[in-house]
Amino acid sequence: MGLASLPPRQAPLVPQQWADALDAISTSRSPPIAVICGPKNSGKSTFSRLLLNSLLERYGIVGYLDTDVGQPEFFVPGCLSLHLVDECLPDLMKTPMREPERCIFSGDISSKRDPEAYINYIFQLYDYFLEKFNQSDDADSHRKALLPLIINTAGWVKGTGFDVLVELLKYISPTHVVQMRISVESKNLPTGAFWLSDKKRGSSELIELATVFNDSFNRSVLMRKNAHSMREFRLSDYFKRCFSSSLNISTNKELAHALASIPPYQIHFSQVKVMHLYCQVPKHEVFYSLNATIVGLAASSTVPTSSARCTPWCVGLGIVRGIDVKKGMLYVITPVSPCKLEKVDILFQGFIEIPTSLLQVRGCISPYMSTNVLHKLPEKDL
Amino acid sequence: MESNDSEGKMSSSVGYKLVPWVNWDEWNYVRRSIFSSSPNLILAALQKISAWESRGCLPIAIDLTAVIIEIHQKDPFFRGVGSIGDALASEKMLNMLYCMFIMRLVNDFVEPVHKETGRSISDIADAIGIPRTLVDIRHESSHRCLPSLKLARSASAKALEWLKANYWEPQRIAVHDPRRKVKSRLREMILCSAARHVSRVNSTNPKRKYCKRTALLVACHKLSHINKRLLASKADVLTVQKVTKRAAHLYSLYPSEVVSLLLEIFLSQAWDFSDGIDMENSDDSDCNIFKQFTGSLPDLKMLITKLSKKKPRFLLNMLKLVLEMIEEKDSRNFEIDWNHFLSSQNQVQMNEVSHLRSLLTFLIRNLKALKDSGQIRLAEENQILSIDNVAAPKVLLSSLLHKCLTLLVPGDQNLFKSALLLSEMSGNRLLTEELKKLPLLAFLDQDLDPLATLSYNESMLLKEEDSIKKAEERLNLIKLHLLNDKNKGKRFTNNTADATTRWKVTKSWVACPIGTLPCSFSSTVVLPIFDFMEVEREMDKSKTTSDNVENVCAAEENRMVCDDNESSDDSNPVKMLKLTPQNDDSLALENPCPMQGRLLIGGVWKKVSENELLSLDADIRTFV
Repeated sequence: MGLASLPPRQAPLVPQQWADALDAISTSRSPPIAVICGPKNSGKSTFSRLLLNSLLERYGIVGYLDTDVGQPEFFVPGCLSLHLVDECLPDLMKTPMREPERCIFSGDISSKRDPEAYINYIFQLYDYFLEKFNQSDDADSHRKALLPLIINTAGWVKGTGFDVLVELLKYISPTHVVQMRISVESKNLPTGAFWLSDKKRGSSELIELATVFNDSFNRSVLMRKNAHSMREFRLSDYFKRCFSSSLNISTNKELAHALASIPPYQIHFSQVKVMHLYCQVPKHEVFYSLNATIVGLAASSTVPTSSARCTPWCVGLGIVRGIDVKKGMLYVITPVSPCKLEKVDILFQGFIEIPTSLLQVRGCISPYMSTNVLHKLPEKDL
Repeated sequence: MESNDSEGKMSSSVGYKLVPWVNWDEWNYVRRSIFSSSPNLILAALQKISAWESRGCLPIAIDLTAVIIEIHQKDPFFRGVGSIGDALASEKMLNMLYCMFIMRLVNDFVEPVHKETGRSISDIADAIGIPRTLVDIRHESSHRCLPSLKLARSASAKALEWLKANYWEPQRIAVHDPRRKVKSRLREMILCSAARHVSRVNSTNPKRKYCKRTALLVACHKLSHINKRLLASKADVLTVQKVTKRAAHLYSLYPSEVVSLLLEIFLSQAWDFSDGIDMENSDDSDCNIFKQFTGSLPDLKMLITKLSKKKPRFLLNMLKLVLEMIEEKDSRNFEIDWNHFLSSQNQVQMNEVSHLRSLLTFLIRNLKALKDSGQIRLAEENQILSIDNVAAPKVLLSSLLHKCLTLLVPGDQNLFKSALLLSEMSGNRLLTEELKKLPLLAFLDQDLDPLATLSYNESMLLKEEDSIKKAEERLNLIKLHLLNDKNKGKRFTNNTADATTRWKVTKSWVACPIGTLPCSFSSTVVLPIFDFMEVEREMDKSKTTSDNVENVCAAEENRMVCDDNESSDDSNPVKMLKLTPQNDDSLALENPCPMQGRLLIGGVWKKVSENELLSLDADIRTFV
């Protein structure tokens, strides 16, 4: 989870153990499907990036299923995404934003609120990948080049997260399971094929790796605080793509100004459906709920036909920047290309909070940024 | 300026925080509703809170208040008559709900501090004033067994009181302060200028007084004496620059309050100059306060000019508000015209509008000055996005001109002058020439002056009917032509019709903060209004019951506003009333389908009789 803003973590010297593991996975006979799991800050992302680079050497294109909605690798927070990566990552500390092959809007930064839906999202993306890129039907096995897949997980170790991981491993039964382990034993996942009941023998190859970072325990507090600003950074970065690079937007302030000025897309109420993922909002309150929030843009026509799971694919995020009830218009800012946008007829609202830096710029302060807000208790004696 | 120091003891944040409500009026609406005794209002508040919740930044205190109120609505013990939804009969269930709520309350407020400092839960709870019972219930119900329902109930009431005392009340005071503060500051400023004004007049020409202004001057004179004592030397020391500087600072802190209050002052002064008409509807306490302290119109105008030089956006805001008010009052006058002609109330309204119109001309002159000095830029219809100059406010002349022209009534010199000024600013000579011809038309129409027309009415009506008939014939001809064209065109356009896109990039857009809409003519902020939903719901026939609920709400809210005794603090009855402009109509509850027989006129649903509808229909046909 290398971030630009983190305290400098020296470029990882790949330990022998890691190098062997990379080698084992990338030289396996069939295109591997590898799941990387382990506690937070154990080097999952770093390993999966290394693995990505090493698989790219052999396969040219590698699938990457990102299931960490809180700290996504290539896309925006709140989205599960499947990527087809065709170029090496030059910087292992920082990954550039990539347009996903397919993506589902989960609308939250963790799997905890609705683990069942979450698992289904993962399965749907996985099924899609299998069908398109990893299935050797007898008929066209000659034509289709099979692709390897890397599945990065969030730091699931216990509780709901652990259950999600077990479900995921059971369903996917990957060729390789890479488990990162840190020095604090209690924070690690159980050893062995923990997702299988004793009777069955798994076909997966298990690789357990020690983390290269010893300080992860101390850093975890710092990371948590950083995760929030990292999400804001990702979202800002994403909405920067609404503008041509010639505008040269570098600061948040410039971005906020640009977002306030850009002519948005307009769409009539009747042509989109608003769906709340996590709470019920009465019909006549929908606009109160929607204004100045981030929504997932999805198209109901794109529901996969072959899979039992049918969440509409998300094409990207948008900011509902204004609502004109008299005209019946929603005004949406989004970097999604017009041809993809044309199919969008669902706005998903979750809990992806709009970065406040985009709302408060001198002379352009959103009404939702307010002063005189009581946010602490009367601290008489505290 | 000291203005933001006085809140030192509140623990409100200094900077901006993300909140789920669009303004504090919305927050106050929820506060009043949720603590009201009306089940409908409570339901409305709960629904609003659920909308806030979906935005993700809801303060815990509001969330918990909504929870406990909802439980109370389910508990037969607390439920009032006419509560909505079913009561929960199972005492065990109720008990669990109460205990869960109490656990959440204690944990949410105490746990963070507990984790940080390691102090005991009861210690912290004591420090922040959470009653001991609540802490005990939390402990008992999480570790042992649930307390009795009776205890849980009384504890829940205590918890609610605690929430009121520690969130709702302090927050209410924190947000009510600005408006009051702004008011007192403005009052002080204008008073100072008034004092200066009086002393100037007195020193140069002590005996000459304008007959019309005598009353005011005497008042001012008296005031200046009183206040010289009150303010000691303060008033004299305050130079124009200082007043402007203060006003500018005040404006930067509370833009909308300053603008609306200044306009209120202006109008209250306008009263004094109008010919001794009694103040009616003096429910507005603000007005009275200002009436006592009025300065003079020139002073106020000077303040506006100076302030707009410092803060160009102020002028645009003012302009927008004035235009809106003229529009609103015009439509109201029109309505009155139908009923009773030239009542004194009507006269008052007309007076107000004419004052507003004169102010408009003045504002537009200022606008021209600001444009000439480059402080306000002209926006192009289809401007290309650029980042550097977003800071300077812009104005879209063509839209502003359009707005002025739509508000223009025959014989109105003020608006005409404004329009002329605007067209000159735009540099469109042809337009200016055309505009200059307009007064000629107005002259012809002068006979239509309401007083004069009374006698002519019948002949006029006959003439009008005649012309309407002719127009209708012409319209029918045009329709026929159009129909033919369409049929011809259809064969060719069929293919291209599919290419129309649903998602379009908005054609003209003026920069405005996220969450707002652009004003049609300048970069002034327009707060969104979401309550026009009736339009949507009318289509959705199955929802008529919820319409009724809304209507009841509106009516009850109205009543609540009336007997809201805290309004001495809640200083703004005008604003509250504004929330429900359609009150008189919505009282007609027996109507099973509230939209029936109504038309949306000027943004308000109005009852329209069959005959009126027919005449409207005719009008529409003539104007198509």
